[in-house]
Parts: sequence; structure tokens; C-alpha cells
Amino acid sequence: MKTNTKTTGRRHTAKAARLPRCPTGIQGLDEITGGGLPRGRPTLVCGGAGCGKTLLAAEFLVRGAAQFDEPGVLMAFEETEKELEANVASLGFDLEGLVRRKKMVVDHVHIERSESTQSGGYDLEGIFVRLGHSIDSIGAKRVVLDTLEVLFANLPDEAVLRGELRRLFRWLKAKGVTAVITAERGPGSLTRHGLEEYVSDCVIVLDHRVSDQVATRHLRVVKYRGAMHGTNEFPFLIGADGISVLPITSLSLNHQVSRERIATGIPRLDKMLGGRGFFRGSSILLTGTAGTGKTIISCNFGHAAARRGERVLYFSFEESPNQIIRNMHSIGLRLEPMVKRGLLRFHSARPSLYGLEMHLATMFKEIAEFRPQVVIVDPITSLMDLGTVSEGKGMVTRLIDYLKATQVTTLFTSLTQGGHPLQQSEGGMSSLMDSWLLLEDFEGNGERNRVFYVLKARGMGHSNQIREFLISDHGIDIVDAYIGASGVLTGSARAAQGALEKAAALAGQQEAAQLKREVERKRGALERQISGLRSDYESEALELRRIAEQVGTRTLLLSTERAESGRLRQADIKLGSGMPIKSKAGRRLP
Amino acid sequence: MRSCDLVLAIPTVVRPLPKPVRTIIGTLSDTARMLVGSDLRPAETTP
Repeated sequence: MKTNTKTTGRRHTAKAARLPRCPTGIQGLDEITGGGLPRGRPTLVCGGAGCGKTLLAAEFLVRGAAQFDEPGVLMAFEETEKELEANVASLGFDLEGLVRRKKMVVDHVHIERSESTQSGGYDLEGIFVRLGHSIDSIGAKRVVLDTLEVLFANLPDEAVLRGELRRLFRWLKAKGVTAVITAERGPGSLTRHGLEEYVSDCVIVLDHRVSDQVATRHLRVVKYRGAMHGTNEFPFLIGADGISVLPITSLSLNHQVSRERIATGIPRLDKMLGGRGFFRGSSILLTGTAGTGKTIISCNFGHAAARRGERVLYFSFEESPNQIIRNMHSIGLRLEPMVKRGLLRFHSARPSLYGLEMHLATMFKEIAEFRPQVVIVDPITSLMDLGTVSEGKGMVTRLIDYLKATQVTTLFTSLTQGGHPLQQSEGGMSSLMDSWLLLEDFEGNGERNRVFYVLKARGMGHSNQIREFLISDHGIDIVDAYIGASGVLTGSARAAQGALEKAAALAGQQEAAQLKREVERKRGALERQISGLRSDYESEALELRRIAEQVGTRTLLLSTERAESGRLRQADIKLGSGMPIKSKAGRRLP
Repeated sequence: MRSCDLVLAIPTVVRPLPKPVRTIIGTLSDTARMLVGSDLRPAETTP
């Protein structure tokens, strides 16, 4: 069983590897198709008018010739060589140079129904001969037929034509060239004349849709025989350097992370974030209603980064660079020197200038060019208003993934429309963010005060306190808001509360001093009492001693007197102690 | 424009002059259409 699965697995991978790809060089398209178009097979590119079929085909050829050393033949049925050259030159491709260097052949097939008549049976051997000659003359590996359907409009006898086209595609396969065939999209089917019947190895559908007056182009790989491919609809752009497809789903979540922390430019905020600021490469969201100071905090952040010598790219969608510089000057933040030194770059554009995808592509391009360490988007919400919620989220996801992959710290500001900001978390955008700071207005006492707090900060300890921040001539000052039983007090209420507290403290001090004096007095009284008692005691003790002395003297006197009288009376003579004494005693007898 | 640039289908007869250029595609088996297409006979002769 185990060996069985193993072999099927190997067979599967072997099959995928066996199908060689032909890289288009078009940004994003190779990612979706897993390396490019099927090599040696025809690919059908279909879509409505003006969705970029010819351009995609031309870019495939030009990039093939210029980047992959694969010469190509462009057989054009609609546009002449001159027209094609001009068209692709506007996108920075030098078609003429490639033709001169024998890397490309452009063959315009002129066909006009009004000029031709059919008389009897025919075949399309002429195309085969011309194409074969062009391919052989430069050793072409790639062929583009743009647009074959012109034949249907201009040649009679559709049955013959279909048979010949079938033969043509077989012939191209046999030649081993990678071909791109463009076709107009028809109602209810992929192409107007059912070309998908013949070209069935790879089918790409282009689409140009307008929603909310903004047009977005989409690309979808409908079919890719024998290979895995992205089946979603991917937005694509025709920019100054060709087509770029922006795959949403091909991005993965395995970017490097950094432990390095970067300061925010507001020391007190750093302290709230565990003392060291944000992680490098993290995404930070700053939400608040109008006038809560989002731009000021962003500029502080950018300024701090630029002062560290990092490059900062500031995307502004509401203010012009000069306006930001002037406004920041009023709070003592000088951004102009940073701009002059090339550390700070502004990119200002009105959100409604072009669609979401174009904005994203421009941002990617700017980021790739400037290689910033810090990117600020102010505000992201005006961009997200351009598309639907899911489009907006998709865009932010791609932007964040792209920036995280390159270790860029990103600060997004988001304008909320009143109400509780938590309830409208920008279509789930907040879940993509690593840190979230919330700015709020507090109204009361006839004034508005700004407070802010850290709602989340992934991977670091952070303060849970609401802080008030003041904007003055010398920048941002963060002070503790008074938080008491009656809620959060800010502004003058906080000042009043401070005064109240001070008065209370003063009263307490006074009371303590009074108490101290009282105690002092009591101690004095006590001491006086003690000394009185002591002197009483001492005098009594003195008296006692005097009496004792008197008593002692008297006793001594008495005893000596008694002894004397005794001696006189011979009272001490003990009976039987000796005869001589007895004889002496006899003397007492008269 | 070279005459050979106009050749796509085989066989094709090209009449470069007088202008405008005319091409006749096919084996020329339909003589009437061939003659009309090459302006050798005006188109509105027979109703």
C-alpha cells in the first residue's frame, strides 16, 4: 500500500515535470501558471475589445526575444508593423531594434473582403508558407497570431476555414513552437468563432470590468492541460513597463521575523510598548476619527526612523507633501531636511485617480525602487473605499505580505466615521495587523480632548492604560489621563481633578502637622509630670535616707550606750565561763 | 505593398493594376465570379 502511493506520487510529479514551460517574463503570469505557457503548444488568449490581448501576446514575444533568447514571429492580421511598433514602444519595448537584430519578425497579413472574390475551392497554404518562412529565417521559438478571427470575417466558406485552422494548429505543434493565438470573446462562448475547439492546451481569458466607475482588468487561466495552475481571477495592470499580474493567493505566510525593536519617536509611547517600541517588520494600524492626530503620530514615527538613518516612504492619499511638511513644522517637526537628504520620500495621489490595482502596483513599484525600511500609508481607508470590502482586504493582505517579506515596518492609518471604532474594524483589516493603536476624541466640559491606547501589540507586553496626548508647539506630549470612579478625565477636567487632589493633599498635610504639634504638647506635659513626680520621689527618698541615717545613728548610740552601761554593769559576763569572772562578779555584790 | 503579401489562400490571383487591387481566391472554377471579381465583366450585367 505504502509503495503504491509512493509510486503514484512519483508518477504525478514526473508528469508535471515532463510538461515543459515557456516563461512569458510577464510579472505574475509565470507565478500563476507555474512557470509559463506550455512549451511547444498553442495557447489561446481571448477577451473583449480593449482588454489587452494583443499587448499580452506582444509582450510574450518581446520578452522571449529580449530576455530568454527565443526569437519570435508576430503575424498580425489587424495592425500593421508600424502601428504595432508604436503601440509597444509606448510600453518601453523596442520592437524595431529586435526586428533589426533578427530576433523578431513582424508580418502583417493584409486581408480585405471588399478587395477579394472567391471562385472555387481554396486552402490556406499561403499562411503556412509565410509563417514557415518567417520561423525558419530567424529560428523562431515563439509565434503569435493576432487575431485569427479576422479570417472568418474576410474569407468565405467557413467549413474550409475551420479545416485549415485545425491543420494550422497541428502544424504549429509539429513545428515545436510555443504559439499564442488571440481571439475576440463571443457571446456565451469563449471566442466568437469557437477557436477554443482547436486550441485546447491552455486558455487564458482576459476581462475588463467597470465597477464604481473604476475599470479593472482581470486575467484567468481557464484551462491548462496537464498542469496545476491558479484558477482564480487575477487583477492585472498595463503599466509603464508592460503587463503585471498581481496574484493574491500565491503569497505565503512564511516570511522571516525580526526581534529588533524600533522606537516610535514618542518616548512615552515606547514605554507603553514594553519600553522599546514596535517590532521591525511588523504592521501597525492607527485608527481614529477625523482630527485625532493620526498624521502627527505617523510623521513622528517617520521622523524618528529617518533620524536613525532609515529610509521612509510616505504614501499620502489626502494631503500633498508640502502641506504635510508645513503642518508638521507647526508642531516642531522638521521633515524638510529628511526629504532633502533622501531619507524621506512622499508619494501623494488622489485615491480616485485610478483603480485599486493601479494604486497597489504603483505602491509596489515605489517600494521596489526606494527600498524603504519604514512605509507609512495615510490613510489606508481612502484606498479601501475604492473597491469592495473583500477587494480592499485582499489588497491590504498583499501589501502587508509584500512588505513583511522584505522586513519593512508599515504604519497604516485608518479613518473611522464616528461611533465606536471597534465595531467597524475596517472589514477585518485589523486582524492582519500586529499592533493596533486607537485614537479617540473625548467630549465633555465644553472641550474635546485626545486620548489613545494600545489595543493590541502582538508579541510584547504593553500598557493597558488610556493616555491623553497633547499636541503643542514642540510635538506630542503624552500624559496620564485621570482614571477614577467617574470614568476617564481629560483636559481641564483632569487639571481640575489634579487641583482637587493637591488641595486634599495640602489639607492632609496641615492636619498631620497639627496632630504632630498636639502630640508634642502632650509629650511635654507628660515629661513635666514625670519630672515633678521624680522630684517628689527624690525628695521623699532623701527624707527616707535622712531618717534611715538618723535611725542608724540612734541605734548605734543606743547600742554603744547599752554596751557601755553593760560594761559598767558587767552585763556581758557569761555565767560559768570562768572563775575569775565569777570572782569579779562577786565584786558587783555589795 | 508587394503582391505576395496579399497571398494567403492558395490559389490566389492578384490583379495589382489598375487600382484598386483585386484578389481572387480559389480554383477559379466559378468563371462568372472570377470575371466579376477581376472587373473583367461588370457585376450588374445580368440580373
